[in-house]
Amino acid sequence: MSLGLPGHLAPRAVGAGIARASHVVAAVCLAGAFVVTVIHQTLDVDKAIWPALFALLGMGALLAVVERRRNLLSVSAYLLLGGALIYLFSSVVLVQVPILTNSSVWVLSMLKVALVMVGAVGTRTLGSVLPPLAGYLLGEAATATAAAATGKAVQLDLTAALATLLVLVVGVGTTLGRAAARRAQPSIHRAAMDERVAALRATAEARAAALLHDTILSDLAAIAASTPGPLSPTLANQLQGDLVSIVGHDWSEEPAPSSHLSGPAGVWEASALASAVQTARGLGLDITLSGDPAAVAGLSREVDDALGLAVGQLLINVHKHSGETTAEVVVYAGGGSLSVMVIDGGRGFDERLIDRDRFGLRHSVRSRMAAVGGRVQVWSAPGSGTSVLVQVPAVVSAEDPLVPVPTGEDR
Amino acid sequence: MTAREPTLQSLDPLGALAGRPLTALAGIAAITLAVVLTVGYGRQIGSPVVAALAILVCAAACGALVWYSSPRRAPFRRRAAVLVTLAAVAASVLSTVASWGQNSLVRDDWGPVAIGLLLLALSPYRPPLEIQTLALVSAAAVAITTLAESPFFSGDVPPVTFVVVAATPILALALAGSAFSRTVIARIARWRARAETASVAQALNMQGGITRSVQQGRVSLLNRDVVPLFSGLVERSIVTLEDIERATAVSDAIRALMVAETERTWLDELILHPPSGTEAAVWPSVVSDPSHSADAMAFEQRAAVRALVGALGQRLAARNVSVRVTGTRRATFELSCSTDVGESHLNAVLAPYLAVLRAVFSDLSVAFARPSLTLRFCYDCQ
Repeated sequence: MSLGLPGHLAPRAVGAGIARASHVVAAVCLAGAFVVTVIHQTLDVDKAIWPALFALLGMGALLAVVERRRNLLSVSAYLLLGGALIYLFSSVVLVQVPILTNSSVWVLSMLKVALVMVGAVGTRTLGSVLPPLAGYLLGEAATATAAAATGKAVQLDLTAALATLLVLVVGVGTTLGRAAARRAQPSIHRAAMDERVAALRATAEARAAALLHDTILSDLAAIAASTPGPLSPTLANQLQGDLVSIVGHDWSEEPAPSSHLSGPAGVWEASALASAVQTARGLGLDITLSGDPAAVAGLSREVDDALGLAVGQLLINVHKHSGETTAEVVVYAGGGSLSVMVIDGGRGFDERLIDRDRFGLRHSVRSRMAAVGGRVQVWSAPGSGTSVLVQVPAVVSAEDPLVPVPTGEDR
Repeated sequence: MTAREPTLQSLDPLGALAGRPLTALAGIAAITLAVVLTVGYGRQIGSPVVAALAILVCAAACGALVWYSSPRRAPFRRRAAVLVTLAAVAASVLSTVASWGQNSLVRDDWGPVAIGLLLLALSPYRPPLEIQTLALVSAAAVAITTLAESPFFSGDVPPVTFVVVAATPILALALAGSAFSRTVIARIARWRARAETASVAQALNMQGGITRSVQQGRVSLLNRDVVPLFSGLVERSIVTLEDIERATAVSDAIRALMVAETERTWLDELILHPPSGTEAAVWPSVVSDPSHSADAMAFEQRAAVRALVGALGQRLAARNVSVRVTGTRRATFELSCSTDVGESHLNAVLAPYLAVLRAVFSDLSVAFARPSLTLRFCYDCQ
């Protein structure tokens, strides 16, 4: 959610930003003063200008402390000790460098600006106004005292004054404009939360629709297709089971583990795919199983569950729409995936022409497979049967395989 | 939508909006400084015409800064930043030319300070790295002119001293600006990571409730039609003709409902359901999105649209809201509605929402001729 900082955090973030920016200005000014002082020393090696460099290093160290921990103590220390170091620096250079004639020469301005750029304490206006003002006054006092003591002219420093003005305007300006523009922030964050909830609801609705399709709609279709008379025991069982699972079961809980997964009695028998084949056989479909059914061992539980439901739906489609009573299921693995082919020799169809309200392929097969990273291909034409290829990723070293996969080379 | 640049304006649109007056103030300060120092050091100026031209170019740079940083023109693009910087450097060079041979003190030149101020003012709108690059390039340009001018300066020091004096304001102010945005961007990233986790956790906490309420909706439907049919059948163990007819009818009804659900997108849900606090009766609306392009919006884009629709309903009492989404690869989203509020109130209310929309969509345009308000923006479908 990068739709902006919440109102209560913005002042602190902006405050931290201004403090860091101030310290960068101070560092650049101290660096500039350092370079120029070194130049003065190299021009006149007989003069003892170098002690001034220690004052600059001291200020640099104090600045590093304020940058690391900005609180009342460190800020006060920077201002007071910094003021003393500026006095020391000024006393040295005003005596040793003849071309520096007054208290507002460039190199001294840089030190004063560095003192002004101490950064705010806290997030209130007063905390951002007082430290720079104190820095300005202390800096001016330090250079003026040093100039007076060394017989140089005392001059008001316009650069330091303008730097102070800049810090004050930025400090006050950011606190003033804030409230008005931030007023909308809560509603924007609320909208983001609403969006998250809406997405969850949409997922829940889609799951509910798939569940409804797999159970109630297919039950209703089975009832509609039956002839008046005694209810078949298979259908009665199915209706009973679905009533419990739809109305009696809490959907927010993980789907109840299917009974067929309870024990790893055999790799194939334990899989959801086997259960789907078994259920379809119960409907009266004669299914020939071939290939390498044991390859389902390489599937994670989630993928196996989804595959079982999808293939179950495909077999129901064969039962309901193909006009055939036989189907072939071929299972084979290779290249990191497991493929299941469901083939019938029935009526066939043109996928582009089927009714919009035929959800089986869309909801129960395609969307389920897409959700686990699988894909579905359909070959069919009216009159020439239907072949559906479902491919899912097979992770042999899955975290949660159906059954432990033998490593092969046990010592 | 092109990838979002790591700028404060794009990551914290409302923060940039709040800082806009400071941007204008920086421009005014740069012009004032140029005028005051030019007039104050008039005796050092050899060519008043060039000096005046320098001030004009500086004013143009400031004008461009204020123009491009307007929330209406967001986001602030790189070419605009380069233009502002080039103009500022040109103004600085012109001011050097104006006092060529007669300038005695480099620290009194307004050029480097004006460049520094403008780069500082650019920092909320451009990535920190770009500000640093522009600072280095401008400092190099100023260093060259300063070196060329150094024989005329007073003071018996090596020319590099003048270069340090001239480059310091540019580097100090521009690097401060980039440090500011870098710090705030880092804070935003830190907050975002934490907020994201918290909000996902909160949403997941709600998931149980959401699923149950979805179930409640479906089950109450099933309780009415399906449960009596099924339990009657199981109890009697006999299928009658009436059961078969009822099963067909109920199945058709459920299918019709599912078709309607499949055709709907989140946008329909958003627009068709009146936001809380509004009268359902004054919220008849239409969504036209034949290719379901609304589904291609990213999370932040959806959230921004959601916030906008909420504000339209709750703060502007908008009615007759209609939405049209066209295009498949690059979609155009057009929202029209009617509102009776005045233009100034409308602008004040919408400004923050538009700032957020501009950060996540491109080509936002707003047209208001009371009472009709139309917003249009584009995005790339993922």
